[in-house]
Amino acid sequence: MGQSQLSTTRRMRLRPLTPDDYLPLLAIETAPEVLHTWRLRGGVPNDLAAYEQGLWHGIADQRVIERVSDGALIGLVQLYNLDQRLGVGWFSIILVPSSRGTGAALEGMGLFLRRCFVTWGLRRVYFASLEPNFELFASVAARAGCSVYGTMTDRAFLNGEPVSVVIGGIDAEPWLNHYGPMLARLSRRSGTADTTADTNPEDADVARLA
Amino acid sequence: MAALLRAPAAEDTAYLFNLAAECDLRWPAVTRFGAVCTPQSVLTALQSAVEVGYLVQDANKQLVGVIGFVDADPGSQVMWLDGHCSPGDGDALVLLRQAVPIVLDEAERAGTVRFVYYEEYTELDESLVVEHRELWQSELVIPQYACIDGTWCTRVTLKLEMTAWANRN
Repeated sequence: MGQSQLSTTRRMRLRPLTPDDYLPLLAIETAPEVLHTWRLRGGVPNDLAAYEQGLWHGIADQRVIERVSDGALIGLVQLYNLDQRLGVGWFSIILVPSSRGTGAALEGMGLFLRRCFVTWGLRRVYFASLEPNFELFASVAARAGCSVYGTMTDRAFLNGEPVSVVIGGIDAEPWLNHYGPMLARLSRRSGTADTTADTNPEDADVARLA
Repeated sequence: MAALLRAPAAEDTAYLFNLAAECDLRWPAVTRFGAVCTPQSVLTALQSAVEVGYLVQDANKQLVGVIGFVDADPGSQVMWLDGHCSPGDGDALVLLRQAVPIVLDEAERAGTVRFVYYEEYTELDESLVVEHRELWQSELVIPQYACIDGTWCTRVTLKLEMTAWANRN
């Protein structure tokens, strides 16, 4: 049986979680650089059973991002705080440190957003990002059709210091009509995010900044 | 008219259930997960979300609404002001607005809250934040957040710094 067109590119694919993923995911989620910014917010489960118990709390859907070439686990994407009457949910993504800045985030996000919009039928997906993290992908977010609704100044604490949180969203219609296909073209063309031969500057910017 | 606040009791379940059903999408703490199915489900949803909650009564001790704080985040020292009455009940709205300073004073006395947030729909003209409006700063503006009674509504998130509240004139 072939992979769904909605869940794979040449380089990355989404797949369901299995119990074998729990240990590597726990390691990713409790890495010092993300421990206080990801959903566990510093609370490390004592064991895998406790981790598994909380794994789906508030989560409507989540998928592992896997590299096609060798099956390596690259990260995790989640849809949480789903509200089907409003047609919205919240999106989050976490990657293994070695995959940050490689374009994996963009491809994994693109695949999962398509899933949110096509499979779940959502009209909008929101995201919340600590401001220092958001600054790293703000340009990509703008190119990918994200709207920023505002910044909650000093909303949280990080290492004892106040940190602001950026709230944004992506609407289904522009995404499905433009940005999603654009990312798909990128992926199909090269199998990597290297698009130096691109003639479309918009496509090139997305790949370069990923 | 003067707002009277009291803690909810078991016999208020039916009132809360009916109010939640009336408010529907206006009351996301209850309706976020489609929780308005049974009176017990409303109570469960409220209990999971509410940090401090009061019933609001009029001078005749008739129930007119609810007010309190939800989604408290102790680690960040923030929480959200939330209050609801029957949509279109202008007298009840006046009483709820009177109750806002009462609960904010309580939050201030607790001394553990930096910010209180409040979410309002600009198109509905039902905001509880009228008095000392100048102290509330707009932080988020989300267009087409929800379609309520056929109107697409913009949700605005306002922030009140408790130090500003404490120093108000």
